[in-house]
Amino acid sequence: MSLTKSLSLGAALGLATAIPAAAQDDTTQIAFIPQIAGIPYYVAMEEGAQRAAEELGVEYVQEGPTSTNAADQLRIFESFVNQGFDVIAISPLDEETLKPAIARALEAGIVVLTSDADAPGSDRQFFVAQALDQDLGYTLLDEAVERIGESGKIAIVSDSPTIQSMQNWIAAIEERAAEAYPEIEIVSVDHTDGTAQRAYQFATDAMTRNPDLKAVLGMASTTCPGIAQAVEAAGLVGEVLTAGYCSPNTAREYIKSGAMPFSVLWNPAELGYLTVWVGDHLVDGGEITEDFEVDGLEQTIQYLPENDVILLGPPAVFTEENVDDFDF
Amino acid sequence: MWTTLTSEASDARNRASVISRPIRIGREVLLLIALGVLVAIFASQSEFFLSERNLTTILRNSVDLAVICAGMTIVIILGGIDVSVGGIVAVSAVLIGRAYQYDMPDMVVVPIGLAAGAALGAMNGAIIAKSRVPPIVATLGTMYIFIAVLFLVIGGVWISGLPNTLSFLVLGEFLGLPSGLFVIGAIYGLSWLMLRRTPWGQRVVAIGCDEHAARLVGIRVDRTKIQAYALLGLFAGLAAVLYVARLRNVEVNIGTNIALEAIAATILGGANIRGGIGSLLGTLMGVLFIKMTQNGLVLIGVSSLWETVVIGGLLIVVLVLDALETRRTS
Repeated sequence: MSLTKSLSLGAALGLATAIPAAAQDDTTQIAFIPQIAGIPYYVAMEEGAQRAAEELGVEYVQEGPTSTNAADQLRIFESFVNQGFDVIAISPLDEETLKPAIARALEAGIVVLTSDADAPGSDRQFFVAQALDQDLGYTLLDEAVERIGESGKIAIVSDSPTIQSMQNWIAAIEERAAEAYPEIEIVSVDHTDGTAQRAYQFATDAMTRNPDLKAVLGMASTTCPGIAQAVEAAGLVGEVLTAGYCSPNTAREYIKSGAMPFSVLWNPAELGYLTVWVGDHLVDGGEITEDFEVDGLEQTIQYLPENDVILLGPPAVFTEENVDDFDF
Repeated sequence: MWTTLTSEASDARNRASVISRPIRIGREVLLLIALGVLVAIFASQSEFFLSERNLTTILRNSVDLAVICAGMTIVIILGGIDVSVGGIVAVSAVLIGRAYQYDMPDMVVVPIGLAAGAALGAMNGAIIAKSRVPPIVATLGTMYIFIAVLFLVIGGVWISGLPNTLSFLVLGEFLGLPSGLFVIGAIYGLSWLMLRRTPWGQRVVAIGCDEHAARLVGIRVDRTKIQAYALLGLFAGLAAVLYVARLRNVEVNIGTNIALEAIAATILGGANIRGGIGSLLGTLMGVLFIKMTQNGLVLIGVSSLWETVVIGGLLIVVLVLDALETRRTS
């Protein structure tokens, strides 16, 4: 009884605050809450989102917590609800914290999206995803094989084993190797404490242990400078390839020196662009039921109906030719 | 060299160290045996372990930790501890990175790194000496502050692509030997002289043995403490210089685990966490043990997740044997 009461009260409050704001201003207002404010990755995402906002004539606001704190994220989410935004997109830190707030926002008629990271157990309408873990794993190995050939030893250096996405990428790489390149052997998977020094150490030791090692793959931007420097210090540039999921800023120097000929990730600016586009589309009464095209993005955007995922597309590959176009 | 250290130490100190002398030799022998076993296992399982190249690699990877451990040994002999050294390394490294970004030359950048480390260390020392807060708590507090400073300055972004003008200090060769050897030799030689050949060193040991007695005989305990922590900070600043010289970037996680590794190496090496006792040579062996374990496990193909198990396990064995020995002699 009291539960029903408080729920309907919450809904009423939500509506009460949403209506005047919407009436005030006809411009569609879209908010995005990143996991943390101010880091280059989300700044790049904001640039893409602002570009979309200008082209679509909507207002875009991005505000995130100053540390990866789920309670702060919730507070920011609720403040956007109370300000009557039409669309709130979020890269959730913690699903459970946000679930009730997401439900209340939906009741208030707000379009709620997840973007960059998902809260699959919540009522969010769509997840705007950057790239699938499987695609990231396959692309990295395929690009590496293209350069080292279809046989040889590869060592993997990852960050903490607690980071789930990296575990998924490693699994995808191993799956791809088993299925497509039987002569490729993954000789080791080591986990750093997030310092460049340990990545350097692991890469050096892997090369010592396997004098015929062909490649070292880094699973995190934290590992990239370390593995590339290890190969440079060993004087093996050109003989041992390094590559990984490295932001262009951490990989740039080594992409240019040849120690790390390429890096695989996605383009956060395009992710921001797509997020705003989807938000605006839904506010205008549009639906998403199949793959679609977006003005301003080259690739076809995929719709995966089983989980309501909107997929930006294949991972981006950063090489000497394009790395200077990115700043994150 | 070890016997000289021991006898010098005994001469210079009061009866506490004389009583404890057999324990320390036991610890030292134990560590030598452990190192021997470790080398035997790794060498038998990997043909590369004893190669010149790999031994050079181990040495290069040990330089920054070894430098910090010299200071940590002195602080632990003093009866203190500093869990914030990783934070000091981090803050110094960020300042070094920023200074390089402003195109400052090495002769400006290096003093900045060293001065920052010494200043933060002196701050730790002052808090501990003046407030009488237990050092582990005080430095835990400053560690959080140092890490916050790191984030505030670099905001989650790596400083990368720094010049490699100083990398010869770690990666180079001198007289046909790896240059890191000379860096370690210089720091340990200097530390040994300070600890065992100067009145200052005697004061450090006296405070570590019995702080109250040291005060009664007129030793300026607070000043000595601040100096010891500042020295550790200075060495942490030097470690930051060497780290940046070698890896040419400053990452957000810089310094993670280095305090734990430094304390583990120092305790493994025979320093008594209650103060008064410690050996620079033993500490150096502790550093070698940790770095050989990290390197050897990878070479023999054992998951690196076991590394902390090996180091933690030996630490417990050493401490338990030490406790049993203490009980027996007392």
